[in-house]
Amino acid sequence: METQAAKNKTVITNFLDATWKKRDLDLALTYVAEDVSYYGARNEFHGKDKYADMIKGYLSVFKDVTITFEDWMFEHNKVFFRASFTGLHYGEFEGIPPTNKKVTFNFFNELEIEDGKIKGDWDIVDELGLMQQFGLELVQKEHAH
Amino acid sequence: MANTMETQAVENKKIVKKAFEELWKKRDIEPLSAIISDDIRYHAPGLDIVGKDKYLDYMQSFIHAFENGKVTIEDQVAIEDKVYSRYYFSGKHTGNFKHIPATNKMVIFEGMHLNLIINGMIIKEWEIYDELGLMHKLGLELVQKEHMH
Repeated sequence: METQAAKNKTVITNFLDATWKKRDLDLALTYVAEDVSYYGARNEFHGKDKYADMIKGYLSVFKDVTITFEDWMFEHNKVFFRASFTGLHYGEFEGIPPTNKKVTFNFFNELEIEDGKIKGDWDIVDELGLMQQFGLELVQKEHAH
Repeated sequence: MANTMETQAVENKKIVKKAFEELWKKRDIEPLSAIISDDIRYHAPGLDIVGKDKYLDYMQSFIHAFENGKVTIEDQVAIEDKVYSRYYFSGKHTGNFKHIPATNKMVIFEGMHLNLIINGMIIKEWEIYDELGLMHKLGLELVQKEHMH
């Protein structure tokens, strides 16, 4: 019998392959629960439609994507992993025009899997590192004049 | 064997939770210091630290900068010698932090870390926290880098 950990591993691998290798949104969404909840560092939303919008958004920004798992751990219905994302920045991202540069950033992810579908998603991305690769830098905000 | 490993994982979760929550409750580096290996390796985006003294200095810099800082571990998973934790930090920015003078603003940010624990001592840690969100709260903004003239 396949263990829950092995099953969940397959769900995640299939989801990421559908998204980034096949770039097939509909296929990717077969691994996502209707009532999925997403918790990013600064945004939070509920429902498969919004989750689909997020995937669509990422697909429009990055192509030739490779996700490399540095480490992962399964416990019951949960998985935590540490990974790196490498992709070509070919589309606009939050007002930043495409740089056509290969960018790499690290992230942590926690996923809750129920009946073979992603139900909860907590994400911490090295967004500052990504922004620096997009050619941006942090500066002290100037006071309003 | 399986039971021993499970016990170890449960113990390791407690070690991590206690270390980081108490560090902030007591504003004292000592309890954390007692469980950090001399040759700890810490990896975060743009930052690699080797050795206990430097690691504790780094932690101390947060304690100096954030009054009433508090770490809340929201979730953990552990197997054998590894522990993943998701947390949030809240505190008031009352001291110099990465060259940013005190803003007296309340900040909250999320983070995750992975700790490797051998015989009750943390020997490796990987961490990512929402540094960009924190910097925004401290009054910094992202701008296009100017080209060299």
